[in-house]
Amino acid sequence: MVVLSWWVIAFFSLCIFSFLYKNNPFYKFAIHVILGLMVGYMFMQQVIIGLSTSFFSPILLELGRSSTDWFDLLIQRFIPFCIASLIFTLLIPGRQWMKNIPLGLVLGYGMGLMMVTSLESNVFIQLRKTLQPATAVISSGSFYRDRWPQWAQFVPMLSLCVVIGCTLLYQFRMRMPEIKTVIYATLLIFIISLSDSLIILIGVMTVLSYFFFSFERDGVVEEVSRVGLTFMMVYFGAVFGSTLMTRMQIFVGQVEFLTSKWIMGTIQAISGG
Amino acid sequence: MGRSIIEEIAIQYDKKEYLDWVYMGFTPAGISVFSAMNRGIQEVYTADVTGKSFDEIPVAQEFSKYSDIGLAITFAGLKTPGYWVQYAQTRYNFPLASGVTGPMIPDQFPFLNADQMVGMMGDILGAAEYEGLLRKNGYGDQGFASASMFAQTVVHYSLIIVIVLANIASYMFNRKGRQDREARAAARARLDSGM
Repeated sequence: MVVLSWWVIAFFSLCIFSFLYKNNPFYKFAIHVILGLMVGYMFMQQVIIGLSTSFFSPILLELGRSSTDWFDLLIQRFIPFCIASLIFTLLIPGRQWMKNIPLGLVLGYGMGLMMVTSLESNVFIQLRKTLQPATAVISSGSFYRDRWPQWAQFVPMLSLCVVIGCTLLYQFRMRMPEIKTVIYATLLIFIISLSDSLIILIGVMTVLSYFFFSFERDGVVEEVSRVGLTFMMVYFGAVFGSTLMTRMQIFVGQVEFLTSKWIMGTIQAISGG
Repeated sequence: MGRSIIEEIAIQYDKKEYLDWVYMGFTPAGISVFSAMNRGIQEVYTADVTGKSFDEIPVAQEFSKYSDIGLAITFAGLKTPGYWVQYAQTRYNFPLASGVTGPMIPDQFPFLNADQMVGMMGDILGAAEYEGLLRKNGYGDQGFASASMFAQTVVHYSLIIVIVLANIASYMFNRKGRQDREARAAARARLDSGM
C-alpha cells in the first residue's frame, strides 16, 4: 500500500512537471484533482470539523455533565448558531437583508479587535523601534553597533560633541581651515556611526512619501519618492529571492522523493529488501 | 499531517503523548481564538484531535493562559505570524517565535527587530541555521536542510549571473536601438533640408 501511494505521488508529480513541455491533458487532470482535493479538504475542515468542534462537541460534552448549564449553552452555542445560519438567507428571495446581521457582527467585532491591537503592534511599537536607534547617540540595540567594542559605543556621542564644539570654536574664535576639516571629518564619522539607523529612517520616510497623494508630487517631493521607490525595489527583490528559495526547495524535495523513495523504494520492494 | 510529524519527533526524543505533548487539532474560530485562549485554552479546545476531553489530558492542565507559556512558536505560510503578534503577543506579552516560508521572511523582520518576536526560522535557510546551532551545541549532525544549501547556492548564483547577463544584453540592445534611431533621425533631417 505504501509503494502504491509512492506511485500515485510520483504520477501526479510527473503530470505537473509535464507542463514544462507544453499544456497537456495529464497536467490538466492533475490540476483539477489538486483543486478538487483542496476544496474538499477546506470544506471538511471549515464546515464539518468546525461545526463539530464549535457546536456539536461542546453541546454533547455539556449535556453529558450531571448539571447542564442551559443558559450557557443558549448564549454560547444556540444563539450564535442561529445568527450564523442567517447567512444562508442570501438564497431566499425577499429575505436577503437578513444576511447583513451576521456579516455586520463579524465585521464589527473584527474592526473593534483590530483597531486597537493593529495600531499598537503595527504602528506605535514599530515607530518607537525605528526612531530609537537613530536618535540615541549611545548604542541602543543597533545591529551594526552591537558588533563594535565597548569603547567604540561612545563614538557617535563623542563625534557629535566634537562637531558642536569645533563649530562654535570656528564661529566665535578661530576661523582656520584646519578646524573646518576637523568638523567635516567628525561629521562624517558621526553619520557613518549612525548609518544603519539613518538608512532605516530614510527608507521609512521616503517610502511613506511615495504613498502620499494629498498634493501633487513634483520637484523635491518627486525625487524623495524616487528614493522610496528604490527602497521598495530592494524589498521586492528580497521577496523574489526568498520565494525562489522556497520554490527551489520544494523542487529539491520532490526530486529527492522521486529518486530515493519512488525509484529506489520500488526496487527494494520488488527485490524483497 | 501535523500529528504525524509531532509523533515522529516524540518517538525520537522519547516523549509520551498526553504527558509531554498533546495535539489539539484545528479550530475554525479565526482571530477570536487569540483572545479566547487567554481566558482559558479549554474554552477554545474542549478536546484533542482524537476526541479525548481537555480535562483528561495531564499536560494540558499545566497551561491555562499565555502567561503559563514559556515560548510559543508558530509555523505558518501566510499572515498568521503577524496575527499572533497583533492579537496575542502585543496584548499579553509572552515570548513568540515563528517559522515561516520564503515569501514571508521580509514581512517578519520588522517584528523581529522590534523584539515582538524572539526568533524567526525563515524557510530552508533558517532550518539550516537552526541545524548549525544544534551542531554547535552538540545536539545533532548535518541534516536535510544543511545538505540542501548546496543546491540553493548553485541556483542563486546561476540566477544572479543570468540576471546580470540579461541586463548587459538589454543595455547593449537598447544602445544599438538608440544609435539606429539617431542615425535615422539624422538621415531624415538631411533629407528634409534638401541635402
